[in-house]
Amino acid sequence: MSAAFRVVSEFVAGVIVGALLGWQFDKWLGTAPFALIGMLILGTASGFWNVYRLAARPSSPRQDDGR
Amino acid sequence: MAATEKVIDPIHQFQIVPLSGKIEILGHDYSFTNASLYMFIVVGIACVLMLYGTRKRAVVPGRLQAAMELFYEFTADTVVSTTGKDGLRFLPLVFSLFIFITISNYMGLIPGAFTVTSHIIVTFAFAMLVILTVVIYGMIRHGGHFFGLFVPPGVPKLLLPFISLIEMVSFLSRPVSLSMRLFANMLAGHIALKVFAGFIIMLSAAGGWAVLAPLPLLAMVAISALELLVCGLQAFVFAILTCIYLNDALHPGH
Repeated sequence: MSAAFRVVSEFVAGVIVGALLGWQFDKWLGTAPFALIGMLILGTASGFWNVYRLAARPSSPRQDDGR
Repeated sequence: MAATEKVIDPIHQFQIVPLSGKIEILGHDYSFTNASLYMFIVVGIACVLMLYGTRKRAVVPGRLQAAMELFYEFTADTVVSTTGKDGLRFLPLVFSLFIFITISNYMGLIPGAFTVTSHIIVTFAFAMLVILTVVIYGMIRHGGHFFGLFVPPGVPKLLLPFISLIEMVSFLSRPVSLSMRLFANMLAGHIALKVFAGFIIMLSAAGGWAVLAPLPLLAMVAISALELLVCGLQAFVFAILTCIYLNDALHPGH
Protein backbone atom coordinates (compact mmCIF):
# COMPACT_ATOMS: atom_id res chain seq x y z
CA MET A 1 0.00 0.00 0.00
CA SER A 2 2.79 2.38 0.83
CA ALA A 3 4.47 1.69 -2.53
CA ALA A 4 1.22 2.48 -4.33
CA PHE A 5 0.83 5.61 -2.27
CA ARG A 6 4.34 6.67 -3.16
CA VAL A 7 3.64 6.31 -6.88
CA VAL A 8 0.44 8.31 -6.58
CA SER A 9 2.05 11.10 -4.59
CA GLU A 10 4.96 11.37 -7.03
CA PHE A 11 2.57 11.68 -9.94
CA VAL A 12 0.22 14.14 -8.26
CA ALA A 13 3.14 16.25 -7.08
CA GLY A 14 4.39 16.57 -10.66
CA VAL A 15 1.03 17.79 -11.87
CA ILE A 16 0.57 20.18 -8.94
CA VAL A 17 4.00 21.72 -9.36
CA GLY A 18 3.42 22.13 -13.10
CA ALA A 19 0.11 23.85 -12.48
CA LEU A 20 1.56 26.15 -9.80
CA LEU A 21 4.51 27.12 -11.98
CA GLY A 22 2.26 27.81 -14.96
CA TRP A 23 -0.10 29.88 -12.86
CA GLN A 24 2.71 31.97 -11.44
CA PHE A 25 4.33 32.45 -14.86
CA ASP A 26 0.99 33.65 -16.18
CA LYS A 27 0.66 36.13 -13.33
CA TRP A 28 4.24 37.28 -13.82
CA LEU A 29 4.39 37.56 -17.62
CA GLY A 30 0.71 38.22 -18.25
CA THR A 31 0.44 35.48 -20.86
CA ALA A 32 -3.17 34.57 -20.15
CA PRO A 33 -3.70 30.81 -20.05
CA PHE A 34 -0.82 29.64 -22.24
CA ALA A 35 1.87 29.18 -19.63
CA LEU A 36 -0.61 27.35 -17.41
CA ILE A 37 -1.54 24.95 -20.21
CA GLY A 38 2.06 24.40 -21.24
CA MET A 39 3.36 23.90 -17.71
CA LEU A 40 0.43 21.64 -16.86
CA ILE A 41 1.37 19.37 -19.75
CA LEU A 42 5.01 19.52 -18.71
CA GLY A 43 4.05 18.80 -15.12
CA THR A 44 2.02 15.78 -16.15
CA ALA A 45 4.94 14.55 -18.22
CA SER A 46 7.28 14.97 -15.27
CA GLY A 47 4.76 13.13 -13.09
CA PHE A 48 4.94 10.20 -15.49
CA TRP A 49 8.72 10.57 -15.54
CA ASN A 50 8.79 10.34 -11.72
CA VAL A 51 6.67 7.22 -11.80
CA TYR A 52 8.78 5.68 -14.54
CA ARG A 53 11.95 6.34 -12.59
CA LEU A 54 10.40 4.81 -9.50
CA ALA A 55 9.44 1.71 -11.46
CA ALA A 56 12.77 1.50 -13.26
CA ARG A 57 14.78 1.30 -10.01
CA PRO A 58 12.56 0.08 -7.23
CA SER A 59 15.36 -0.40 -4.70
CA SER A 60 19.00 0.43 -3.96
CA PRO A 61 19.31 3.73 -5.85
CA ARG A 62 23.05 3.75 -5.19
CA GLN A 63 23.90 1.09 -7.74
CA ASP A 64 22.31 2.59 -10.81
CA ASP A 65 24.56 3.29 -13.69
CA GLY A 66 22.35 2.12 -16.51
CA ARG A 67 19.32 3.86 -18.01
CA MET B 1 -16.76 18.11 21.91
CA ALA B 2 -18.86 15.46 20.20
CA ALA B 3 -20.88 14.67 23.30
CA THR B 4 -21.92 18.22 24.02
CA GLU B 5 -22.90 19.23 20.51
CA LYS B 6 -24.23 15.85 19.42
CA VAL B 7 -22.15 16.17 16.30
CA ILE B 8 -19.23 13.94 15.47
CA ASP B 9 -16.60 16.07 13.87
CA PRO B 10 -13.60 14.09 12.65
CA ILE B 11 -11.71 17.23 11.65
CA HIS B 12 -11.84 18.83 15.09
CA GLN B 13 -8.65 17.11 16.21
CA PHE B 14 -6.58 19.09 13.71
CA GLN B 15 -7.66 22.50 14.97
CA ILE B 16 -4.88 24.78 16.09
CA VAL B 17 -5.74 26.56 19.31
CA PRO B 18 -3.57 29.34 20.69
CA LEU B 19 -2.63 28.56 24.27
CA SER B 20 -1.02 31.88 25.09
CA GLY B 21 -2.17 35.36 24.35
CA LYS B 22 -1.56 36.73 20.90
CA ILE B 23 2.13 37.34 20.31
CA GLU B 24 2.85 39.45 17.27
CA ILE B 25 6.32 40.12 15.93
CA LEU B 26 6.61 42.29 12.80
CA GLY B 27 2.99 41.65 11.91
CA HIS B 28 3.28 37.87 12.00
CA ASP B 29 1.39 35.74 14.46
CA TYR B 30 3.80 33.90 16.75
CA SER B 31 1.29 32.77 19.36
CA PHE B 32 2.14 29.66 21.33
CA THR B 33 -0.35 27.06 20.10
CA ASN B 34 -1.08 23.45 20.85
CA ALA B 35 1.05 22.58 17.82
CA SER B 36 4.04 24.36 19.35
CA LEU B 37 3.37 22.66 22.67
CA TYR B 38 3.38 19.22 21.06
CA MET B 39 6.54 20.01 19.12
CA PHE B 40 8.23 20.87 22.40
CA ILE B 41 6.91 17.67 23.93
CA VAL B 42 8.23 15.63 20.99
CA VAL B 43 11.66 17.22 21.19
CA GLY B 44 11.63 16.69 24.94
CA ILE B 45 10.78 13.01 24.58
CA ALA B 46 13.51 12.57 21.96
CA CYS B 47 16.10 14.28 24.16
CA VAL B 48 15.11 12.38 27.27
CA LEU B 49 15.13 9.05 25.45
CA MET B 50 18.51 9.62 23.87
CA LEU B 51 20.24 11.25 26.85
CA TYR B 52 18.72 9.03 29.51
CA GLY B 53 19.12 5.93 27.36
CA THR B 54 22.81 6.49 26.74
CA ARG B 55 23.74 8.08 30.10
CA LYS B 56 25.66 5.04 31.35
CA ARG B 57 27.63 4.47 28.14
CA ALA B 58 27.79 0.83 29.13
CA VAL B 59 29.80 -1.55 26.97
CA VAL B 60 27.07 -4.10 27.44
CA PRO B 61 24.01 -1.93 26.85
CA GLY B 62 20.86 -2.11 28.91
CA ARG B 63 17.46 -2.39 27.32
CA LEU B 64 16.87 1.30 26.62
CA GLN B 65 20.44 1.89 25.55
CA ALA B 66 20.25 -1.09 23.19
CA ALA B 67 17.05 0.29 21.67
CA MET B 68 18.61 3.73 21.17
CA GLU B 69 21.76 2.24 19.69
CA LEU B 70 19.64 0.15 17.36
CA PHE B 71 17.78 3.24 16.26
CA TYR B 72 21.01 5.14 15.68
CA GLU B 73 22.78 2.34 13.84
CA PHE B 74 19.74 1.68 11.70
CA THR B 75 19.73 5.31 10.56
CA ALA B 76 23.48 5.28 9.99
CA ASP B 77 23.20 2.10 7.91
CA THR B 78 20.43 3.64 5.84
CA VAL B 79 22.50 6.75 5.19
CA VAL B 80 25.62 4.78 4.25
CA SER B 81 23.79 2.33 2.00
CA THR B 82 22.01 5.07 0.04
CA THR B 83 24.58 7.87 -0.11
CA GLY B 84 27.89 6.16 0.56
CA LYS B 85 30.45 6.85 3.27
CA ASP B 86 30.72 10.59 2.65
CA GLY B 87 27.00 10.92 3.26
CA LEU B 88 27.65 10.38 6.95
CA ARG B 89 28.14 14.11 7.44
CA PHE B 90 24.40 14.42 6.91
CA LEU B 91 23.62 11.83 9.55
CA PRO B 92 22.70 14.44 12.20
CA LEU B 93 20.16 16.00 9.83
CA VAL B 94 18.62 12.70 8.76
CA PHE B 95 18.63 11.33 12.29
CA SER B 96 16.96 14.43 13.76
CA LEU B 97 14.28 14.41 11.08
CA PHE B 98 13.73 10.68 11.50
CA ILE B 99 13.41 10.72 15.28
CA PHE B 100 11.23 13.84 15.29
CA ILE B 101 8.83 12.46 12.70
CA THR B 102 8.72 9.02 14.30
CA ILE B 103 7.94 10.35 17.75
CA SER B 104 5.42 12.90 16.56
CA ASN B 105 3.65 10.25 14.46
CA TYR B 106 3.39 7.94 17.43
CA MET B 107 2.39 10.80 19.72
CA GLY B 108 -0.58 11.38 17.47
CA LEU B 109 -1.84 7.86 18.12
CA ILE B 110 -2.39 8.65 21.80
CA PRO B 111 -6.06 9.56 22.09
CA GLY B 112 -6.54 13.26 22.60
CA ALA B 113 -3.04 14.14 21.46
CA PHE B 114 -2.29 16.50 18.63
CA THR B 115 -0.45 15.22 15.57
CA VAL B 116 2.18 17.71 14.51
CA THR B 117 2.91 15.92 11.23
CA SER B 118 -0.74 16.04 10.12
CA HIS B 119 -0.27 19.67 9.15
CA ILE B 120 1.13 20.20 5.69
CA ILE B 121 3.04 23.31 6.68
CA VAL B 122 5.11 21.30 9.16
CA THR B 123 5.95 18.51 6.70
CA PHE B 124 6.52 21.05 3.93
CA ALA B 125 8.98 22.91 6.14
CA PHE B 126 10.88 19.63 6.63
CA ALA B 127 10.85 18.92 2.91
CA MET B 128 12.06 22.42 2.06
CA LEU B 129 14.83 22.05 4.63
CA VAL B 130 15.94 18.87 2.90
CA ILE B 131 15.72 20.25 -0.63
CA LEU B 132 17.45 23.51 0.26
CA THR B 133 20.23 21.49 1.89
CA VAL B 134 20.53 19.48 -1.30
CA VAL B 135 20.62 22.56 -3.54
CA ILE B 136 22.95 24.66 -1.40
CA TYR B 137 25.35 21.85 -0.59
CA GLY B 138 25.32 20.64 -4.19
CA MET B 139 26.11 24.14 -5.45
CA ILE B 140 28.94 24.64 -2.96
CA ARG B 141 30.49 21.26 -3.55
CA HIS B 142 30.02 20.85 -7.29
CA GLY B 143 29.31 24.35 -8.58
CA GLY B 144 27.81 24.35 -12.05
CA HIS B 145 28.38 20.64 -12.33
CA PHE B 146 25.43 20.22 -9.96
CA PHE B 147 23.11 21.10 -12.86
CA GLY B 148 24.26 17.92 -14.56
CA LEU B 149 21.39 16.53 -12.52
CA PHE B 150 19.04 17.95 -15.12
CA VAL B 151 20.86 16.44 -18.06
CA PRO B 152 20.42 12.69 -18.01
CA PRO B 153 23.08 10.81 -19.95
CA GLY B 154 22.38 9.14 -23.27
CA VAL B 155 19.59 11.42 -24.44
CA PRO B 156 19.44 12.47 -28.11
CA LYS B 157 20.35 16.15 -28.74
CA LEU B 158 16.93 16.86 -30.17
CA LEU B 159 15.10 15.75 -27.04
CA LEU B 160 17.55 17.25 -24.56
CA PRO B 161 15.87 20.65 -23.88
CA PHE B 162 12.54 18.97 -23.40
CA ILE B 163 13.91 16.26 -21.11
CA SER B 164 15.82 18.84 -19.05
CA LEU B 165 12.64 20.86 -18.58
CA ILE B 166 10.83 17.75 -17.42
CA GLU B 167 13.71 16.91 -15.09
CA MET B 168 13.54 20.40 -13.63
CA VAL B 169 9.83 20.20 -12.94
CA SER B 170 10.38 16.74 -11.55
CA PHE B 171 13.06 18.11 -9.22
CA LEU B 172 10.74 20.89 -8.09
CA SER B 173 8.01 18.37 -7.42
CA ARG B 174 10.17 16.54 -4.89
CA PRO B 175 9.48 18.71 -1.85
CA VAL B 176 5.78 18.64 -2.71
CA SER B 177 5.58 14.87 -2.95
CA LEU B 178 7.83 14.41 0.08
CA SER B 179 5.68 16.62 2.30
CA MET B 180 2.36 15.55 0.84
CA ARG B 181 3.00 11.86 1.43
CA LEU B 182 3.66 12.18 5.14
CA PHE B 183 0.91 14.74 5.69
CA ALA B 184 -1.74 12.82 3.74
CA ASN B 185 -0.96 9.54 5.47
CA MET B 186 -1.26 11.09 8.91
CA LEU B 187 -4.38 13.07 8.05
CA ALA B 188 -6.16 10.16 6.38
CA GLY B 189 -5.29 7.71 9.14
CA HIS B 190 -6.53 9.96 11.91
CA ILE B 191 -9.71 10.87 10.09
CA ALA B 192 -10.41 7.17 9.43
CA LEU B 193 -9.93 6.40 13.11
CA LYS B 194 -12.27 9.20 14.14
CA VAL B 195 -14.93 8.26 11.58
CA PHE B 196 -14.99 4.63 12.66
CA ALA B 197 -15.13 5.65 16.30
CA GLY B 198 -18.09 7.81 15.36
CA PHE B 199 -19.82 4.80 13.79
CA ILE B 200 -19.63 2.94 17.09
CA ILE B 201 -21.33 5.77 18.92
CA MET B 202 -24.00 6.25 16.26
CA LEU B 203 -24.79 2.55 16.02
CA SER B 204 -25.04 2.01 19.75
CA ALA B 205 -27.44 4.94 19.95
CA ALA B 206 -29.61 3.58 17.13
CA GLY B 207 -31.80 1.13 19.08
CA GLY B 208 -31.84 -2.32 17.54
CA TRP B 209 -28.90 -1.54 15.30
CA ALA B 210 -26.72 -1.53 18.39
CA VAL B 211 -26.04 -5.23 17.79
CA LEU B 212 -23.87 -4.13 14.86
CA ALA B 213 -21.80 -1.77 17.01
CA PRO B 214 -18.97 -4.29 17.64
CA LEU B 215 -18.23 -4.39 13.90
CA PRO B 216 -16.70 -0.91 13.63
CA LEU B 217 -15.00 -1.62 16.94
CA LEU B 218 -13.22 -4.55 15.32
CA ALA B 219 -12.39 -2.34 12.36
CA MET B 220 -10.98 0.21 14.81
CA VAL B 221 -8.65 -2.40 16.25
CA ALA B 222 -7.48 -3.33 12.77
CA ILE B 223 -7.04 0.30 11.69
CA SER B 224 -5.13 1.11 14.86
CA ALA B 225 -2.74 -1.73 14.10
CA LEU B 226 -2.38 -0.44 10.54
CA GLU B 227 -1.76 3.06 11.84
CA LEU B 228 1.02 1.77 14.08
CA LEU B 229 2.65 0.34 10.97
CA VAL B 230 2.02 3.43 8.83
CA CYS B 231 3.48 5.80 11.44
CA GLY B 232 6.79 4.01 11.57
CA LEU B 233 6.84 3.34 7.84
CA GLN B 234 6.15 6.91 6.78
CA ALA B 235 8.87 8.24 9.06
CA PHE B 236 11.25 5.72 7.53
CA VAL B 237 10.15 6.59 3.99
CA PHE B 238 10.77 10.26 4.72
CA ALA B 239 14.23 9.48 6.04
CA ILE B 240 15.21 7.24 3.15
CA LEU B 241 13.96 9.72 0.54
CA THR B 242 15.96 12.41 2.30
CA CYS B 243 18.99 10.16 1.86
CA ILE B 244 18.21 9.58 -1.81
CA TYR B 245 17.91 13.32 -2.45
CA LEU B 246 21.11 14.01 -0.52
CA ASN B 247 22.74 11.42 -2.73
CA ASP B 248 21.98 13.74 -5.66
CA ALA B 249 23.81 16.55 -3.88
CA LEU B 250 26.82 14.36 -3.18
CA HIS B 251 27.03 12.58 -6.52
CA PRO B 252 25.15 14.58 -9.17
CA GLY B 253 24.88 13.30 -12.72
CA HIS B 254 25.66 9.71 -11.69
